[in-house]
Amino acid sequence: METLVLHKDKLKDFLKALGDVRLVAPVTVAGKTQFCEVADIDAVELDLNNYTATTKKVMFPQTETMFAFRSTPDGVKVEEGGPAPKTVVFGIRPCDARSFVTLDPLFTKDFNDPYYMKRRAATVLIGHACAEPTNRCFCPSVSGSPAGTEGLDVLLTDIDDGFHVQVVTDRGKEAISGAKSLLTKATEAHNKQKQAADKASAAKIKRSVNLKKMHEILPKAFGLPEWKETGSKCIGCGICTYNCPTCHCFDIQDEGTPYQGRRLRTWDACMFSEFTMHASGENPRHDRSERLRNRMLHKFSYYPRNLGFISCVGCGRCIELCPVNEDLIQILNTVREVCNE
Amino acid sequence: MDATKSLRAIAREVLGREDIACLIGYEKGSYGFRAQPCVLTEPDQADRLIFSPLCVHNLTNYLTLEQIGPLSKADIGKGKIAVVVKGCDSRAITVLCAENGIKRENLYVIGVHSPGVVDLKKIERRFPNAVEPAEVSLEGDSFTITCEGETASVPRSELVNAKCLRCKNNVPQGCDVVVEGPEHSMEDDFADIAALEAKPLEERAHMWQEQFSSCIRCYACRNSCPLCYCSECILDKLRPQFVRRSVDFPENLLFHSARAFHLAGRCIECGECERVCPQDIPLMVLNRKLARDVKELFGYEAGADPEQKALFVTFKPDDPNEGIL
Repeated sequence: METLVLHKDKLKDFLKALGDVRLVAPVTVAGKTQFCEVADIDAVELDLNNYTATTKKVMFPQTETMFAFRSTPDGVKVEEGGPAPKTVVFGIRPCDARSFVTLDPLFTKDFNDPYYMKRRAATVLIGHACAEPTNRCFCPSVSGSPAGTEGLDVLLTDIDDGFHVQVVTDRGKEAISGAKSLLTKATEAHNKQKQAADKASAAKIKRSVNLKKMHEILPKAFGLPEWKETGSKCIGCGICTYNCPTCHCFDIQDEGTPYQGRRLRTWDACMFSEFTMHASGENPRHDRSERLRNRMLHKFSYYPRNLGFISCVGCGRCIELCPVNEDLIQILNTVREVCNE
Repeated sequence: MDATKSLRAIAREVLGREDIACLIGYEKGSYGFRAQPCVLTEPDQADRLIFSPLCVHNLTNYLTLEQIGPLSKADIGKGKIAVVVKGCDSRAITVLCAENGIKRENLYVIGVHSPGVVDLKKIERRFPNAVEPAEVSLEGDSFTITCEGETASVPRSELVNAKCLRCKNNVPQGCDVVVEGPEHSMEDDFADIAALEAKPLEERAHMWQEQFSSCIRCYACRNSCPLCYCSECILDKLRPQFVRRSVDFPENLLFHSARAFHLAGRCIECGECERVCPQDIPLMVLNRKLARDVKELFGYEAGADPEQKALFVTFKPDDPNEGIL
């Protein structure tokens, strides 16, 4: 695919040239960077050094109406959600884009989830390579890269004077076709700058975890007393799961009255005490340490065995945001060490 | 002798005792500026303990979680639980005991005179690339920070947690043993609350609408609070469902209002809810507004006096208001 160059003064014109689409991009809301639907292009900012907002909600909203119903004199009327609007997500990080690749088999394998799939089909992802990976990042350990293109349609990389624009897919090519006049063909010098930028950012990633055969080691570690010790400091909140780009558990609820209401699904978190609570009150994962162990095994053993991907893209948000320093890297390293693998 | 050494000596002795089941303290974290809570059961683990300005957590939270450390449910109550507390943290134990949330005789409280803890968000913004475990100590009015092979000195006021700048008393209450250090106490004039109240209603309404709309309902504020310990939280209840599961402004407002009101006259301002919030919602503003109102209306400060009863179980025969009865 082609490689192009966008001058930094032309960024706003580029965003306008994406045409009549729902634009989702990083903006500052209440003092914090969030990925939101953008009404004012001037509010878009690409300085994401402190951002923790996940883009998961673009395909998989935290609260989603599956259908609404109301009782009328002519019987019950059911309204399903409409089609997904054509959307461009601009400025998404390569790790977050890759998370959708790992989620796709989950939402398509046994059953085509119409809610996720309609958004996935209507959304183009224009990524921004990480120039400054943070001290929580470890994407190379899970086969990612701060300049990875997996899941992306277009990738922008900071170079002198502007952006190197790598068109990854045909959908990406079509999405930016309106901006043709703003883009010039990348020269050999531009491509070299891009390579140097990729190399420099990869060198900034300091944390890593060895995941070789981890899907086989973890089940052997199931009964280790170390889980109890590590898990005892967990406070059972939903920070790790709700900020994780690959966590995908949800709950289905009905809201309203018998005459009018809606069925919706909302994110759920395996760290919550009622997550596996039975109607009887019995909970097979009673302790917080059992819930933490399940989260690790799900991501690094069950999911790869069932769906072929590690359910982690190495963004490190769970590590940074955990109130009590539960650190997935430390946990997995301990498991490997204790199992002598 | 520094606080870490004193703590380790105490822990070795305490963990050797038959009547102590475990000790909840702090140990070195996994990277950068993080320290982490730990639960120890054996005397030879005592050297894992640390105490420094990085020990931000309120460990009394673990006393009311449904399962304490490596203890099984059946083990709880068989021995005392030892816990390391700072001045603010100790006031949570005072409130818990006053409202019969825990029994004091089941605890062994190890107090530390904390000179102030850092604001993790501020220090990590200042030193963004810390991966190797960093060291922070307070020397005079400055933090000495050793991070990635370099040492820097930063004025305490620039990196200290806001709660420490208005610390009423850093001497922990009602402890079995205390690691002593410099004492300090400051007046809290609630100037931050007065400043917010002086703003027009529309501006405040807009601020809270924006803040609560960004809440993702991870319940970290609830779960990190030592005084949120109902065995069945109304937020989790399905029948009746007081708060809906849909995450939007009206439901989030209900959640935060419920949380704040349930802490009126009880919050001891350890600031854990605000510290852990992944969306940086200024939750302490709500808690402090109610704390100020409680102080003005009833002359009551949560956790200030180990002898005082819980606010909502007291009444005065000469109360000038009619009340609801």
